[in-house]
Amino acid sequence: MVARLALIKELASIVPQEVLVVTSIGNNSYFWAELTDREATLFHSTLGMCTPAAFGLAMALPRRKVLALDSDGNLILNLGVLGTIANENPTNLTVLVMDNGNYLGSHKKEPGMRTATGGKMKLQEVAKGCGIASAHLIQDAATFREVPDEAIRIFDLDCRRSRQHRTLRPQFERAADSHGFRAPPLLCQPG
Amino acid sequence: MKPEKAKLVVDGLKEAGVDFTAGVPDAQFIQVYKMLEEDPDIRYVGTANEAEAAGVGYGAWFGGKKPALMLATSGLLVATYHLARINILHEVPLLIVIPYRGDIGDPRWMGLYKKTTEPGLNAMDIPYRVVSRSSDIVRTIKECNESARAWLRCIAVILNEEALW
Repeated sequence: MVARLALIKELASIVPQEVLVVTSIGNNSYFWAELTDREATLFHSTLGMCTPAAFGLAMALPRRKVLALDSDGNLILNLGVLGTIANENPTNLTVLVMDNGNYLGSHKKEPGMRTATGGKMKLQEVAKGCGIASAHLIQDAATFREVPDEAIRIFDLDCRRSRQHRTLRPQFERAADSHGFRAPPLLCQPG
Repeated sequence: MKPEKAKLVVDGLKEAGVDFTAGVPDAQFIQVYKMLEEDPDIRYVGTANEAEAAGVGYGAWFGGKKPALMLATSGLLVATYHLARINILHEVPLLIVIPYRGDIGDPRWMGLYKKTTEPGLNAMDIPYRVVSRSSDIVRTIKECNESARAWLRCIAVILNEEALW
């Protein structure tokens, strides 16, 4: 198991600047905003919209790599998108799911309530069943570097909270603007 | 739905410059979906539900596409949260084309959607036009899309069976 903050730190150090990133709401957005200095991020995609938005972006810009930084509770709301992605097969899209098996467990004093993945559901098996051959369950940050770029990546996160989460969160909240996302100039619509 | 009426919808999308569509096929608009899937100028992505379609269109717009969503009146309800957020918070201009269940000309009693479609769009602050004549389909789709892009707002075109029959 790996803590979300440690993994996003790892990601921030290895995801190239030119990769377009779409993040789900909550700590994925807060941590990514705090730990990276890049304009090409679309933050706070909520209620199942993260992976679909990243997929749409990947379809629109087939020569740019796109990373969806999603979470288990968010993805489960629109799980059918895995079948859509499998059928369209955009090779420039990576979906990375921060799976802590928990609703609200990452930023409350006590763990929240479990998601389906906190029970019997295994997202990497769901992804494979949807037709995505390259789906992985990864439990440590070091392994992340070894997975091929074209993979849909499923991370199993430890839902135990660390002191770092509590002390850093106020900074992350300030990092988000009043609209909840930073408009990425690289992606601005012409005309 | 007659193929020539479906073609008017696709022609309207082309006149509007739409090059990317997403949605879930429904009985009223099935001919439109089939034409879009085969059309070389407009990329059609079939999604598992309409909320997913809204997210895909939202992402495609940031990638420079001119997207439209093809939503049934029932599917509009599925996508309500996402469209409200995309329209009011993110100000991304998605054109939404809706065949109107429950309005004049609908051979089935689908009164539910008469009660939900226009009030729902109003609640989401999405302007719309109801088209009742087939001769207005192309022009209305084009003009609504121009307004959407100028205002950075979602706009809906609702086509009732008087226009589509």
